[in-house]
Amino acid sequence: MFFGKRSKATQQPLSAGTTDASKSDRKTNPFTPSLKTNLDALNQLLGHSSDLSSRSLGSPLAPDITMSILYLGDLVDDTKLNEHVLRPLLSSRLQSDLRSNDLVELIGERVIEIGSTSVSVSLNECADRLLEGYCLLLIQEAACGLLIDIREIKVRQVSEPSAETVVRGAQISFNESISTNLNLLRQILRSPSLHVEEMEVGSETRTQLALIYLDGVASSDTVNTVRSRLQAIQISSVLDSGYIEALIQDKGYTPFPTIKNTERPDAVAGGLLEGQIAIIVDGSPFVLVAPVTFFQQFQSPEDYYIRFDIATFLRLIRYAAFIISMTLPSLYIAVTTFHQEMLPTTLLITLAAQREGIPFPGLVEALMMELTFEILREAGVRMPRAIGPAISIVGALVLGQAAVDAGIVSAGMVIIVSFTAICNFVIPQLNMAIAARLIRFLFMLLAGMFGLMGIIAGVLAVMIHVVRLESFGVPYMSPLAPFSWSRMKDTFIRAPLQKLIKREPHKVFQPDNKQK
Amino acid sequence: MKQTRISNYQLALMIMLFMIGNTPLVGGGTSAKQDAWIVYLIGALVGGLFLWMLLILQRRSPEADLPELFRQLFGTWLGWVLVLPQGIIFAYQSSRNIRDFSDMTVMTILTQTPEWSIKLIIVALSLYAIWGGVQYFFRLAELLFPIVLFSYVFLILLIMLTGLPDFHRLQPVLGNGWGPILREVFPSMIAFPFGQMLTMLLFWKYVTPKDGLRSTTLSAYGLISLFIIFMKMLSLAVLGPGLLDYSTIPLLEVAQLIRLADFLERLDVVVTLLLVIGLFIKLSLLMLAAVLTISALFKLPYRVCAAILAPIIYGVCFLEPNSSVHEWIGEHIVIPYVIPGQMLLVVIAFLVGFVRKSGRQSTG
Amino acid sequence: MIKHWLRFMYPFILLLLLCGCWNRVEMNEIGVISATAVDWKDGKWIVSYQLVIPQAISSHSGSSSRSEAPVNVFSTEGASIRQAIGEASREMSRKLYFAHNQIVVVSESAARKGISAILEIYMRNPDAREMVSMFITKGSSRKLIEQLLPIEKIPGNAIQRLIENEAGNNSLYPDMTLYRVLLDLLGPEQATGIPELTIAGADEPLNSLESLKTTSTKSKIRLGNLAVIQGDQLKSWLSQEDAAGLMWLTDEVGRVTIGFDCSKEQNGPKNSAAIVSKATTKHKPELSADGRVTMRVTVKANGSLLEYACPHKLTEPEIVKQIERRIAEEIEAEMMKSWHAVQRIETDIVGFGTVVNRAYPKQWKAMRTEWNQNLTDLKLEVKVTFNLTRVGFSTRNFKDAQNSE
Repeated sequence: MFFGKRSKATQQPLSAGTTDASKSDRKTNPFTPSLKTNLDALNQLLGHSSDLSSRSLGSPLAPDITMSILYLGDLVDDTKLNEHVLRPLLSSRLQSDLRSNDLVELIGERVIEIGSTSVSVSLNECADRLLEGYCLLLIQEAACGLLIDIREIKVRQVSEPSAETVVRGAQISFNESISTNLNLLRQILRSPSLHVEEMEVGSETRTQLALIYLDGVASSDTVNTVRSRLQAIQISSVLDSGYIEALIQDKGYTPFPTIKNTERPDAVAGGLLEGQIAIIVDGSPFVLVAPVTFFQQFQSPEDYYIRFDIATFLRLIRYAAFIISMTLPSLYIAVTTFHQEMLPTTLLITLAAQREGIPFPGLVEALMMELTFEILREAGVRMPRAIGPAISIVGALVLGQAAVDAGIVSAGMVIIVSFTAICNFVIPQLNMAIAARLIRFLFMLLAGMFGLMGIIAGVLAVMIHVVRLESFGVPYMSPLAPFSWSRMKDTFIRAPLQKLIKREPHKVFQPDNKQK
Repeated sequence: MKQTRISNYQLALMIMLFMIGNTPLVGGGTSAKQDAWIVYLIGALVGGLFLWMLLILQRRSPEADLPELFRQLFGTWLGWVLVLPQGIIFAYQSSRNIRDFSDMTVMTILTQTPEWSIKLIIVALSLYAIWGGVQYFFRLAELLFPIVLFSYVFLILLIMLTGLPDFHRLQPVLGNGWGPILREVFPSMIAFPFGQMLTMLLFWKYVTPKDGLRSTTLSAYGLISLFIIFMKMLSLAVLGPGLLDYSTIPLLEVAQLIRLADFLERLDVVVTLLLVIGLFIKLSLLMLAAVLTISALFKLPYRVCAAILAPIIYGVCFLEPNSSVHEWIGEHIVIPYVIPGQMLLVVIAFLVGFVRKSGRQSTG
Repeated sequence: MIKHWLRFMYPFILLLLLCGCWNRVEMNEIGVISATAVDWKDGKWIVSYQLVIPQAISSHSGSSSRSEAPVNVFSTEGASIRQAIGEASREMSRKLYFAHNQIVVVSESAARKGISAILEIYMRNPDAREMVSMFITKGSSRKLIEQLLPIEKIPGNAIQRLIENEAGNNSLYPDMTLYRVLLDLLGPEQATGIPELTIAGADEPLNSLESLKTTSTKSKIRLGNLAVIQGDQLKSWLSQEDAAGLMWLTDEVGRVTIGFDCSKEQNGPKNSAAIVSKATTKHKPELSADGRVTMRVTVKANGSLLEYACPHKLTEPEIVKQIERRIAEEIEAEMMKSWHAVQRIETDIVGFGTVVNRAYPKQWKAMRTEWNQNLTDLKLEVKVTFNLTRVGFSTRNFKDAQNSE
């Protein structure tokens, strides 16, 4: 048809292709039989880095052959190096007359006491591995090297979740290490159908990421889409999962997040079980989950741990809070400056009495207060932990109370702004909360110009916008638009668990074009 | 490219929103006094017949929309000539709705705001709504329908709770005989709002699966007709025939009377906003219909056509000097001549198709 | 990319271009009117406004113990009502805001001139509401809205609550909102009754805070007689006694206290009382062959005993039945009295015309023109059944209990 969604398979490359070209060059760089040449070549590849240690040694294994061990001193585990690599080599009781490549293999198989060893014939691969913390054993006359995994990875302990807290449920969150995160996930989902595909992104950072899904539950189309989008990423550095999110999402120009991030293993596991796909990015404790709908961002894992009636109530509260945090200040502006007839007489009189002597128009007053609050909030996030309480006292007491006393803002406005702010904290997904904050300002401006009519126009515009959003082929507003009765059981309400179990999981996240 | 598809559910919701549209705004049937609701009832029944005919047309060539249908029935050239006025009528109706929209807002909530700005907002919003195409626009209906439904339910509940409706005011039934009723029904009531189902001829082809289409359309039509009749009866029961005739927007008048628990009062702003949503859907759908028709006729890309038509529609709604002229044209030209004319074209198409089919059968 | 971005933002950009706040009115730029009064004098409309002063009412600043009068009253005049209102901008710093106007008091002179002008402005303008309560007063209407009420802060609001309370709890007059006046005057009879508002007591208006500082006030606002409007003009007055049965005839009774005589002789003082808690009135017109209408009105009412002055034991069904009969007679008498008054003034304010129209739409067309004049020909048959559902906590009169010891 003439108005189908434009395909967005390829992403714009963010870094030019020069590094790319050299990368493919290096792959074909082979070993030579000369130990000296190899060492020089590696030194060259690693830029004569001063933390590259190389040690030549002679082993009783083959006394006449010179060996050399290379490693980056800061990245390897010294104990492993000494106990499980050097000691077996130096005190080997094995005798052999094998030469060159065969000897390398023999050492890898029979001498080294480390689980992961591999023989590599590519100098570039060796250089890459050295950068990860492997050590490399080179032997005179051999045109290959033995890579031994003795990495030491500095990892933060797993701790309680800080961004998504729950009262009931697991109190554990991901950390920055991809292997820890996979470990946490595997501990919850001990299923053979949990597929993990690892890949590497970023020409400079070479960040590990893992694409995870439950085979048979996730739609293969979606998996393919995600995979191809991940493979299409061309960027030099990835420092957080936010980079990946921005690069693979469907539509960039929207305040609404179409990929969810979470630091809770149980939330990820729950998503996987519903057919979503998770992407763990090394170095980020926030795991991406996609595809995700608007309504799923209002669900907390806790919803499923507590009683269904309470969960339903809490969920409705969250939706209400979302709507309030988006529209309340604008409604206040509209009603007090355009539609005073809507207020009950006594309330009007009370508010009017407060406004006597306030120098600013309602819109300016509201914008001022909202901006002040946003600044306070940002200050709260950025400032050193120790002075946190100070800001809240200054913010709440000095600014709020004093401004009212001084007759700069009306008390009603302070109530509205604070309540709006509190409502905003209720939304479980920070990204969604920020979207509400942004849209709030738009609505306030509209309300200042056209009153309620402006708000309605704004709401309609936002609705038109969200209805056109999709997350990996899943309509963003589903199951409301397009409507699905069966999924309503877990959208606005949370039906009792036994009702939810009957749901066929793989039906949940079918992309729209598969429903034929 | 992805296939544009509409589910039966989306179709049903869109029909309902479209039919509610500006119906509360346009009086209709007031000269039949307390029997105005009977006018609506008969209008709905006759409109149902027309709809049934449309559905037969659709079934004969399920994958064709209005321009395609006319091309099939009348040939390329004549079909083109006959479809062009339809496209223009859609666009004109859309523009009339914009005018209704701004008249209403200026009259009720934004008394000092210049009309051009209100119209500009609504045109821009409609253009934005249809920019993504049929599929997304019908999805929007799913989002808006619950809001409209809950607001109406809430409103009706409040009206009932105030104790204002006195259904005795509907008596005496047929006090003035059938004369005034029939005069209102033919042709105005059939044309508006019930004849406007004609617009759906452009969208049926996107519905998948097709087998539920007929029952969905008819039941949505039936439900919404009942609702419209009920709303008419309710306003009659609150206002009585005299006051109903006297007030420009009866539903708004009714809402003004709500006074409950000292704070649920002055809900007319809410009603205005409800009307705003209804009008918005209606004029956007008409604009969509116009864009689809015109773009098919002139072989223009969809978005180019939308971008050309929207400013024209915006311009046209300034042609009438004041709201009285606007209403007069609506009452004396559009409803009795323009829309029935459009319907007549479709009826002719139906008959031509019928003759052709039987002709083919006899020869074959 | 830029195109994409624009596509999302363009409605908003458009909006931002339209900078302007055409309709914006801050709350401290409006003067909230809580009551209006309309007078007709020397060929001019005089409109008076009760303007609320928010600071004087809201206890926002804490210490203000009514140092300022809560309202301010002023008047303007003009050849039409709207013109008079327009005049107000010459003496007011704020835009008059009528959406919160609760009552409109019309003076007798203005009512004789015709209230259609008032109805007209309420229907045409969006800011004025049809739910304002309407009153007629003899003499100057401005005086009424100058009057302060003890306890209450906004007199206009208070008067509306007064009539609502009265209509609900001791139905004598209905709350005649503008909407009901409109309905009645657009109905077949084109007649209605509007309650009178008067100042009772000494001719000393209660219009300063000083006068509220005593425990008893010199004058007070109360409901008086019933003004009968025909067409759009005041036709005559009905006294409270004459008007008492109207609510029964029109099915408007909510709760009302009825006094009756419980003794066997039936001519003693009405020293007992019952409260009606629920009442329905049904009309059934009957057209005889000679064109005369007989109106059968049946009233069904429930209620409980409030006060009882006779020595009979209330545990006996016979006694209860007798009380019920006595109350029913009382109601019947009230209705008949009001009906005779209606016949006397020849204005169908009870809406019998509508009832006849509903039952005999064809014949009504002929009767319509002479309807009010022919009211005397209409025969009224009233049938009241009263059901005493509860007699209260005591089974007999106190005095009786003392004597039986």
